[in-house]
Amino acid sequence: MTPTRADLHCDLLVIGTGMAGMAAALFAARRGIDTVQVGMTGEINFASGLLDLLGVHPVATGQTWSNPWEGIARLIVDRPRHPYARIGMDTIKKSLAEFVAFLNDADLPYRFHPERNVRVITPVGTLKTTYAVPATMAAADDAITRRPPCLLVDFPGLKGYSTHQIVGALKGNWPALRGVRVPFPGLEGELQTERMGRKLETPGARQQLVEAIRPYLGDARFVGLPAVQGIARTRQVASDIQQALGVPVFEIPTMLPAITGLRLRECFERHLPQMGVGARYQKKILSKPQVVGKDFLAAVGGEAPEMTVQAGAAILASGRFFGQGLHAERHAVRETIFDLPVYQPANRSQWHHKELFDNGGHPIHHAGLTIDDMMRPTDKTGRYVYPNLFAAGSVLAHQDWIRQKCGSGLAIASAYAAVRAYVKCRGRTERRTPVN
Amino acid sequence: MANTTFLYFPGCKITPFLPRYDRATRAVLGHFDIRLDHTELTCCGYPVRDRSMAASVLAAARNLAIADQKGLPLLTPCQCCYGNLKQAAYWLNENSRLRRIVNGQLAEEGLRWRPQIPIRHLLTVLTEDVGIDRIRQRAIRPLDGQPIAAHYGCHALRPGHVVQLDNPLAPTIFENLLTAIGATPVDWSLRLDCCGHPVSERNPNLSRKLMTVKLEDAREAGAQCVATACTYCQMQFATAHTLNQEAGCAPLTARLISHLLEEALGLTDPDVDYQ
Amino acid sequence: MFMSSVASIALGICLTGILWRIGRWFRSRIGPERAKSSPVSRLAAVARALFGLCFRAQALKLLAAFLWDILFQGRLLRQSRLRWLGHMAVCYGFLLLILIHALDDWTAPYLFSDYAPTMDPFRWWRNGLALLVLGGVLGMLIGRRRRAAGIHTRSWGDRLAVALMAVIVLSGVMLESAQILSPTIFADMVEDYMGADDPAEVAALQRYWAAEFGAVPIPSLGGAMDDDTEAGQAAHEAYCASCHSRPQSAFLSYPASRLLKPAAGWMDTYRVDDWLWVIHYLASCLALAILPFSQFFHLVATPVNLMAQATGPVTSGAPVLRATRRALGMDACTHCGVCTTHCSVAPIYRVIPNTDILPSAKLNGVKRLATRRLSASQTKTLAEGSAICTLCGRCTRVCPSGIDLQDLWQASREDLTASRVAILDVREAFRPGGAAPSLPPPGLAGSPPASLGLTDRPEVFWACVQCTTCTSVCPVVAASDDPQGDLDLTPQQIMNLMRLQLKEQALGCRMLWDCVTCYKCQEHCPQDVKVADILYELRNAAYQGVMPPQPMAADNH
Repeated sequence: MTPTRADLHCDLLVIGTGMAGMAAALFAARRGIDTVQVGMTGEINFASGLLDLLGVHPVATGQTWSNPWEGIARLIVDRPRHPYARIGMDTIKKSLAEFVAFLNDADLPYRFHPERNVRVITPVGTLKTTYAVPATMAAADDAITRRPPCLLVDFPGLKGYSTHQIVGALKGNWPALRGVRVPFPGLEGELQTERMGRKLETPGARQQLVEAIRPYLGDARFVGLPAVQGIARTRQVASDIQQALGVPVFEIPTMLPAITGLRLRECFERHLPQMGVGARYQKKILSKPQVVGKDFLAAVGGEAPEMTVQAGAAILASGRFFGQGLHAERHAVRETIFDLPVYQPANRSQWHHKELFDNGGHPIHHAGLTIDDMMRPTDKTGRYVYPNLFAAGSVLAHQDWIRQKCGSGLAIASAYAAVRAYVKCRGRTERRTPVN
Repeated sequence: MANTTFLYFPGCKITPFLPRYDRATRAVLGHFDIRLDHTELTCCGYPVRDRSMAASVLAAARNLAIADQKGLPLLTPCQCCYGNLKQAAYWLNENSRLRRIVNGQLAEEGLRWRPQIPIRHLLTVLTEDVGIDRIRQRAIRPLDGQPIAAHYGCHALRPGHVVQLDNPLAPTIFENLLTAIGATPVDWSLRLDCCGHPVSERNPNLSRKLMTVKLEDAREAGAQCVATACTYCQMQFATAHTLNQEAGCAPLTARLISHLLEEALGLTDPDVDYQ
Repeated sequence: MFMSSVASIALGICLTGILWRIGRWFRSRIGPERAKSSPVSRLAAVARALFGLCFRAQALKLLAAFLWDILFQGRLLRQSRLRWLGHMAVCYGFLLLILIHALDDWTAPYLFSDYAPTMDPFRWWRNGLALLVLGGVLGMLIGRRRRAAGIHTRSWGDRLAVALMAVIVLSGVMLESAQILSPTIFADMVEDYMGADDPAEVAALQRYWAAEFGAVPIPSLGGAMDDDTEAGQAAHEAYCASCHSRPQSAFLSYPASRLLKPAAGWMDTYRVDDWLWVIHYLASCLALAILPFSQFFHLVATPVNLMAQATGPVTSGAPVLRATRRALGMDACTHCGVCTTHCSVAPIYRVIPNTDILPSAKLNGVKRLATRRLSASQTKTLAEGSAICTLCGRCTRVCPSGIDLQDLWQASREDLTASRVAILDVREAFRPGGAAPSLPPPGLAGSPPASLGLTDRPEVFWACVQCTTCTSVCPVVAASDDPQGDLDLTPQQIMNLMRLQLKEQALGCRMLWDCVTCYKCQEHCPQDVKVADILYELRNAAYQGVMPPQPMAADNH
């Protein structure tokens, strides 16, 4: 169906509801920009809640960075085409600060150190480096550094989470680490994290949990729990439990299906509409948007077109292969919405190296959209394809977020840069609207 | 633009099993000058969907076609009816083969399904066409801060992009309505879960368990009663009343939104026990 | 002599038939109380209840019911004015015809001192009543034609009874026409009442009758003298007028006789009037005899049912009375089909052509279920019709015979479940050791005509990454302490089977049939796999495997 008449008008259309899309909608709303956001809210459910900034560079040597900013500085020099290079350190810092400030205001507080990465424990017993963590996971870094007596708790029936495994993996360097298994209050059999999270939102269940753990506390100075302390009221739940136990408690992200992503999703889906974003969740762009004058005209709907949106500009934050922003066909990678030129290896045989775990990663992972200084997707000549189309997030080229451990930082910073570029293009001065 | 006339779709269960819900709904809507057309309609098709999608969609489409003929939006107080009518409309919109078959069948009666027939549930009509503010103003006997757990049920809530009642992960319209009439909505973890009615015949134990777990959760959250907006949900929770009494604890009752509104609007005598 | 013995036999058959059907009220079994009492104890309970009624205020309710529901047919009036008009016409038309015409030997002398069938007002009353009956029957037939098709409840007995009614009335009208025209009857009457003394007087009378009344056509009489008319009139007034009104007042028979006049001679030769009388009489006897075996038994059952209903709903009475009242209710059905016209699930019949979905046909099925006359496959069809019914109660509200259909549906459901014909049997059929019916192949005529086709397209499942989100949000899984044991498969495992196109393996699992259709799985799926819709489609497919769609068939009963 070719859209002819618009049902909805806006200044900015954010395409995507992942980390980059949510960030872009957030930054736009805070600047008073009339924004509509569409997307199939799916993959954000898989988020761990951790916000990586930069963990590894160069990928080939596996060098890790305890100060991500130093790493980024190196990266910008070594990889001038990396989106971080376009965006600039200053912007990255600002974007993270604003993003985390929002989460703090939205009662899903995050913590970060200005100058260094922190570590969390994973359910398989490794240590993961990241930058910003949910407040509920923040105490882990301290525990990991000091390695005092620490009690890890698991529950019978929770698949993929075993303190026996975690302790076994870490005990070599952390002898005072121990684990215990206690029954989960009010639930039996196979446990599901969503159920557990909602259960702990009731005071009775929290009390029972604390009483189950207390006999095993002993001299433990920290307690580690799976990330099930509530979904919509995480801060309150965690604070209650910590207070009752009397020692700092940190969460360990669970295997899928996890609620850490659900926390972010619920937080965004609740607050963004309240901030004025015209949210059309579970809807997608069904066909290539038309250009009408200077605007985009897009058919939006679930399966069939339900409405048309006319937007002065758009930010494409549609994700990579999993999020279906990019589609891998037999011989080429296609960008699925605007059919933009995609930077990619010359032919199919060059997509992957022979070794699956090749130290350098695979060329296909650097595929994606190239951008100009204004975050606009460009063609081979380097010229923008549309003057009012911007791109953000994992759809961008010249980055390997999985191996570089820069996914969230990339998403947030590029979204910030895209919104700022949009504002610049419109010639408007930034306006801050008070956020409740 | 607010509608003032609707084609009333009571659904099959309400007249034989919850006639008071029907009367209360009509009284409340009448109080706000909403006019209802009572043309005889047929089953929405929800119960037969397990056996045949085709039968379910035809049953729904017929009612939608009648609404179309009359040029009226359709209003129902039952969430299962609402959900099935919306599902049928969704699939008829999306699947041209289905549309052709169904319109062929409807043609035998001189009817035809066309898209864009508005399907509304009582909750959205109250919040959008009547308006929260108007309700608040006319609530001459507000509910005194009574803690109430709003039960959304399932079929009007999900899948969100099909039924379009409210945000399926964090809906608020029911709580807004309760606040407007002076109640205190409680936050309870299982508020979006199923009441269990759909399997009440196939697996009564499971049905009972789902319902009991919900009511316990509501009680733990501090609610004095559960508010419903669906014929089936209310029928389900009504069975809990007997169970609760058997167990010896104070029964957590379920009350329909129309009854709560009647009370708050002063349409009923508060001294008479309507339980 | 012969005729009166035929009449007596017919009456005997009628009364026997009525008693037999009444007897069945005490033997028929529907509802949870059915096994608990014998026919004799049920009869005794009814007798006790009737006796008790005489002394209670409820007797007044019964009187009111008698006046309003039975005599005035108030239910029917509330339901449809036109139908009420038609039915009153037929009912009272026929009733009065029986009273003042068929039984005139017994009734008329007590009511009218100078009664003769050929006298007015009886003559035109008779014709009027006949017109009323004919008009009423025609009206009701037209009305029935215009109602929804598929009612299909007429049996041979019904058709015969209606045909007989028409035959009776029409033969009666024709009989009178033939009698008007018959010279033989004229001659007999002259002999009986005039004496055959003066042929000139007889001829004058005959000419008078031919001229004035168009009766007794005379082949040829030559020229008539003027004073013959006066003589004829004098003769008529002397001998005939006291019993004969002008035949023109028979406003049906008389015009008919004009039409038949050309054939009058032939009719007389073959004594068509005698034949018509025989037909008329025999048809009446036959109608009487088959009354208890056709829908006209409602003449007995419906008034009794209406009175019984006036005492309260079926479930308000003692358990021992209920099965009897239900049987009585089922016999009160007149096969009018109004229930089906207002049935909430009637449109579904267009897709699932099982007549047992429609209350008028379903009632027949329940009746046969109650008297154990259903085969296994008929029971299955009835069970489907019973399950599709939503118990909306509308049929009950509109039934002109006051049958408590809602109670019948609820009572028979228990019986049908008890006989293990339920949707759970569909699940059982697909479990190991079950019947394993084959599924309709996709895309062919045998498959559901309008399914979404989700389960047959592998690309629907390519997006599934087995993240188990659907399982983790499922309330049914959460309600189980041992999901694998209780449910056989969890939702994402079913999706996996679908990815592998192993549909049949999923159909017997308990998860599929315990699903509460809350759509949480579909709402939370990150890959937009329509999990809940797919589970629905699997249930549809299983169901189609066990109850394959039949082509439209005539009434099974």
